Amino acid sequence: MKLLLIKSALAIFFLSPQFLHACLPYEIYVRSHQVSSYERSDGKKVRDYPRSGHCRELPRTNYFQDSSSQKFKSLSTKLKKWNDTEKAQVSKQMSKLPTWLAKYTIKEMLRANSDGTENPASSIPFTKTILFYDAFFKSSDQTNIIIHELAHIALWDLEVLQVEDFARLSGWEINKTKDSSVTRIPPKKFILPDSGESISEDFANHIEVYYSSPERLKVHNLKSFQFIDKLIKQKEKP
Amino acid sequence: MKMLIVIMSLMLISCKSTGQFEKQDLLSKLITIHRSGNLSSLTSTFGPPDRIEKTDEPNTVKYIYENKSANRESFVTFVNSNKEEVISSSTMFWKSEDDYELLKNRFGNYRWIEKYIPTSPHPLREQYKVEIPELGMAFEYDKLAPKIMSIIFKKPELQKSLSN
Repeated sequence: MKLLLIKSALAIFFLSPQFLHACLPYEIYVRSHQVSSYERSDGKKVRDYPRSGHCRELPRTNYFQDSSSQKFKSLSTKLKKWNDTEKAQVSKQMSKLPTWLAKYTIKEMLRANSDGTENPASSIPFTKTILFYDAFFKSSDQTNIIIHELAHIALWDLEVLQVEDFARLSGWEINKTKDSSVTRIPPKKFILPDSGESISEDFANHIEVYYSSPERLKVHNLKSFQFIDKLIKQKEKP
Repeated sequence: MKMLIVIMSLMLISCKSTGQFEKQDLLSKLITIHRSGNLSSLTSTFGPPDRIEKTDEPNTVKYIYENKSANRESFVTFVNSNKEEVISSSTMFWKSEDDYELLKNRFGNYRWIEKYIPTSPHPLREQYKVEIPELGMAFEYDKLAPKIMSIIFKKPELQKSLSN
């Protein structure tokens, strides 16, 4: 009975919101789900039980997958198999990453045909997945493409105040719509053309340009440059 | 037994120190304020804003409450300065790996209207809009990345029909 009480107390304590932290770069979040009943190796039967959401460590190898159990409703193209040359190209670029981004373990690196645009890659922060399209392998800018996709995943780890600060410094404004709702208005000038798509896209573009052309970012917006510079220096600390 | 007491105390402290389990966190307060619709309700709850900014619309101003003061989460409220009424508010959520689940667990018992929003193929997204009319709450979320940037508050549906 005492053991049960201790277990319950610990469960409630560690599930309380101050422990609702982001998963670590080498972990993935597993949603709450019902665990099916099963039989242990010693023959003991375990009844089905609810398991709350939790972070799970990812293995550090075997990123490349030829298929996925994930369903992508808005993906207009099909997944295909990797070839060895493509894997070698991606692995080479991954080895050149800045330290803080190299900490991220990717659960699935998927290969797909073109998505109908010139887009070289897409990422899914929640499942730590990166999709590489045909355009990636024709690009001479592969390191920056991977940095950009990992920046989408890294944004996921930021605290709410950091995201708010970035949005404000980059020039995102909150405005009222005609139907009395509220919307975010993108900055008046973009560091890259698709920055107005979302705060996440703007952040990923900032990180990409910080590495590819820091002077350009400094001239574009000194305040957002300083924010990114400080953030990266914090993240680079061991 | 001592261990049990220590754990139970930690548990109580944890529940007390966080806004999530308290009824009166920022979300609850903004719901209450928009139910009343009065500017006085906003300022009596949160005090004066850090800044007031003009908007493009006459008689509409933006009350900006920043996170840097009073250890609170930041939010913006649009106010009709002539009528001294609150119109709408927005706050960033971004609290957990799965904000959608957090909100669904908390508000899922209310009428929950969810609509798919088609988007361009890049970036890869699966966008939905959720409305909870009884609470005057709305937000958009990406199923592939369910951390929620903004929650929007307006006058709840019931109050709207009563005041019309």
